[in-house]
Amino acid sequence: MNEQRVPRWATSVQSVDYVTSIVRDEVARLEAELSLPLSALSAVGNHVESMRHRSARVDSLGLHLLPPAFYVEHCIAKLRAEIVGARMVGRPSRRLRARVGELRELLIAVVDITANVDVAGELDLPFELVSTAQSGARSGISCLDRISQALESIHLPPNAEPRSDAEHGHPNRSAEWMLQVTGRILPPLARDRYVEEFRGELYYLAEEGANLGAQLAYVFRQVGRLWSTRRALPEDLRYRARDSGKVAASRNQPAIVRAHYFSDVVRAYMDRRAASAIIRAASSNAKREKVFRRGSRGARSIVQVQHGRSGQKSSYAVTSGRHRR
Amino acid sequence: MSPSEPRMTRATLLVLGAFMDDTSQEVYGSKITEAVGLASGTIHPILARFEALGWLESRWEEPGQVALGRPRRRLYKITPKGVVGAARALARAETKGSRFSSPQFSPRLAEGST
Repeated sequence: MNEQRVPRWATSVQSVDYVTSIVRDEVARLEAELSLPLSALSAVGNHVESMRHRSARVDSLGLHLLPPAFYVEHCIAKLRAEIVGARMVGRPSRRLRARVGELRELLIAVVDITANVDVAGELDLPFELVSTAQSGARSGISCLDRISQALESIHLPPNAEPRSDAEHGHPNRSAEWMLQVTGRILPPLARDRYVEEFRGELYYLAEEGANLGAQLAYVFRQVGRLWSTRRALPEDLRYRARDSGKVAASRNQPAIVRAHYFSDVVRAYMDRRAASAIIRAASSNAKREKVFRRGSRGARSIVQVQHGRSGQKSSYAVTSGRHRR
Repeated sequence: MSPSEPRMTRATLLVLGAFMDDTSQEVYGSKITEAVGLASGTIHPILARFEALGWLESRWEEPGQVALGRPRRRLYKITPKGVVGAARALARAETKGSRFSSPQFSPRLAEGST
């Protein structure tokens, strides 16, 4: 087998270019070499399918496990597509490796079955048909091995330039900062979770070799949909407060708030254990969370408790002055 | 459509199809985005909606899985309730013979997604 390794003198960028060209050539060779064998495999597969209905021996010999030619073609097409869109900066795409692995398994199955079972004899087929499929699968495996070897050889040579943050799998700081800042669109209870989740995905992108533009595009897309995400959150995440939270109420009048949402918070607020609380005001501007803190000119006290029919506290009235975020 | 069921758009159905491909698999947002081929921003509102409905559940990946210096990933998994709802929604879309009934509809999630 030809040793196709990245020259020691290559920089990281050169090594990626070099490997990409090797992989492209090998995939083109794979397609050419498998063209005829796949037709043969297709003919064998069709015969196996027709014989399966007549004889149980086909299944007992494991001939039904021969990979369908159309699926092998599909895998080659996916491999080709992966290379065209490959982002192999820093390290080969994991998906590319997975595609190579999957295709190799299929071809190994073809070789194993045709080598261990007398397929031609069992199915009464021309021997050349089976041998063409088998030899094609063998050369396909060799091609795939060369591709794997080339992918493995993407590495930083000793004299290579130091890698950038993206190559280490760290996202660009601006993109990360932008996520942190715009995450404030989300309500406090969900904010930390989603910002961390988005940052995790940003790291994933960076690991995959996404450049600054791709990372910023990801951030902008997320930011553009943050309001939708916020609306999709369950009610309690949207409005329910943390114990360490803040107070929200309507602007100038006592606001009626739904006690069942905020009973814990309101209790803590009334017991003066919590400095502040979030309360959803059931007023015209109910959907706006206004933040009040004890001692500020915001909500100072809960002045009225309304009791429901069952005697339970159903709502609270909160005095509020000028609100302050 | 029952009130406990979200509006089924193409994107929604694609996401459900991705989860129905392997109901035991736990996947994170980027994987789903890749599998269904939608823009990254569209996935999270859908996931949040399904999570609120109880069709999906999520958890942070185990500390052991977290590589050094990387934020945790949120793993999503379809719930039994979600399986039933998704199967019904997908079947409805299929019977309608709408534009949803394409092979793209059951995208395969890539290996090693967790």
